[in-house]
Amino acid sequence: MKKISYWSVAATMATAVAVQAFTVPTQAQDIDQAQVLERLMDLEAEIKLLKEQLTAAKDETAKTKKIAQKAAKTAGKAKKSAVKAIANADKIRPNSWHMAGYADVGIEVSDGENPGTFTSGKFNPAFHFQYKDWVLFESELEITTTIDGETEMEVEYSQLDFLLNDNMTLVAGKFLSPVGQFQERLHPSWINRLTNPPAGFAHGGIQPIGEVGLMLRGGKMLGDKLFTYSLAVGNGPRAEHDGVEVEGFGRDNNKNKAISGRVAFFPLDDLEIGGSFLAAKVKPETEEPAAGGHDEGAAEVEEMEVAALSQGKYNLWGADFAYTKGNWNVRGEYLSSKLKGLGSEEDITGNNFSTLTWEAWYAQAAYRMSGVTDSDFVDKLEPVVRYGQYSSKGDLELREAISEKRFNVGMNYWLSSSVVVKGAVEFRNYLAATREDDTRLQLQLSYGF
Amino acid sequence: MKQKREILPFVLVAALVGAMGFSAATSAAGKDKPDPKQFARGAKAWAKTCARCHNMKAARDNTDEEWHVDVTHMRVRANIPGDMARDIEAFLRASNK
Ligand code: HEC
Repeated sequence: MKKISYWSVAATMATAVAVQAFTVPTQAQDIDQAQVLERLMDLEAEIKLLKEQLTAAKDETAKTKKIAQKAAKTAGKAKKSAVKAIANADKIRPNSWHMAGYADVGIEVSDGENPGTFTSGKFNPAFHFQYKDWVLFESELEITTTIDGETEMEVEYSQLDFLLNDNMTLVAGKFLSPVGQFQERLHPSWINRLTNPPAGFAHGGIQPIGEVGLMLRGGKMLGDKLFTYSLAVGNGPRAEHDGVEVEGFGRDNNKNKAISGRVAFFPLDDLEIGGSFLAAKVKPETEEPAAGGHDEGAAEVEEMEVAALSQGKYNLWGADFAYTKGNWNVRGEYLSSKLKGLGSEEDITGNNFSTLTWEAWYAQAAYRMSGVTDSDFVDKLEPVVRYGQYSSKGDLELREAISEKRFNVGMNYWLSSSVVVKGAVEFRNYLAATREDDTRLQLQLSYGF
Repeated sequence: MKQKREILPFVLVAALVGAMGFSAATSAAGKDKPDPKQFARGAKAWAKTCARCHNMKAARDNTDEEWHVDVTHMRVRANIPGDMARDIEAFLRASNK
């Protein structure tokens, strides 16, 4: 028997296994390669698509970015022009101005010496021009119809206000007297709660009206309280038939300047307390040289001669208060003056010097009815009362001519903050036995603009 | 005495010019810086100050320029300190639109 060689069996098996091993993998490799190739191609296609999409997206992004940039640019421009527009709208021209003032009409019916009359009232246009924050020019004219039907025009004030610093203004020109509170602050008819000034506080009264000269004024916070001052140097008063007139004369008639002023402080936010003074020399009343009748030199000599005669000393002091809280408006004022040592023109020896004194005061209270009821009509009403006296001592004739007590009761109807219809009854009680007491019915319409 | 009188106007003018220069120099500093608290300060000062003598006028009654001039007018008439007047002006000009 042929002996089976282990080696041949082993070789055969090995060959078989090897063949098996070789063939199977070869087949498998072929299939995979095709698949991989296919997938690769698929992937390539996908990548191409993605790439395309990506570029498209990139393009889009760039476009969007561009649009966004453009929008931002436009917005920036818009913002810039808006800011510019606001700045321009809020910019004030270096030369700015405003016209203001007031006008009133009225009627007064009296049972006394004067019959009822329409009063055409006043038209007071005021002009204010301001150059930067340096200077303000302000002027107010007063245009009135006289008893004879003529038109009269006066310059109430015409002044340059130099704003030196936050606490100091220099005023030059013709200005309202800073003495007291009525003349400078309350006399315009849209501010005054009654149709006329208190006794002694009008032209011809004790209250100084105006002054021509220089005035330094301002206010400062001392702690949390406001302190104010006004100090004026001017041509001063002149002696007139009813006393001493302080009306702001365009030319001094003596060599002495008058000093006047007022200081005030606010112990409470709603309470103002003020004190005033005026000190001047006055020369005796003389005939005004007829216009053109004298030359300046002669007038000067004459003035000096008169001045050498005797000059009176005129001194005035006053105190005032104002309480304005909520609907209340309460005020009071006192003025007292003294004229000493004024000789009459003939009185060269100067023996006949008499001392004259004047005194005037008033107290006033008004209450605005707004919020008291639900009615719109009542809201606009404001009842007011005032009592005052004016008197003089030292000369009987003068005393009889001016001394009076005056009581007013009124009701105001406010159409707006500066348009008002006022109705009032005034009771006048004269000191002179020869003068009949007198009751007046007063109506006035005033418009502040 | 006479000489003194003649010098007086010159002293006054010199003082005026000096003071104006000083105020121009001091007011130029710190200008144009918006101050967020100014409106509130102005409103408060307005309420406290502007009804003392007459009824309050509404902010809408006047344009910016008119308020600018008016407030200066009142600053002089009522002796209101300049910084307070500027606050009030800012308040009125922000409230009249
Ligand atoms: C000290 C009293 C007083 C105070 C305080 C006061 N005013 Fe006046 N105001 C007056 C007087 C007086 C007039 C009238 C001026 C005239 O006709 O000469 C006036 C007039 C006005 C007018 C009319 C236009 C003009 O300028 O004449 C306006 C607007 C005005 N005041 C606004 C104000 C404002 C805003 C304040 C606050 C900053 C104020 N007032 C505070 C006294 C005052």
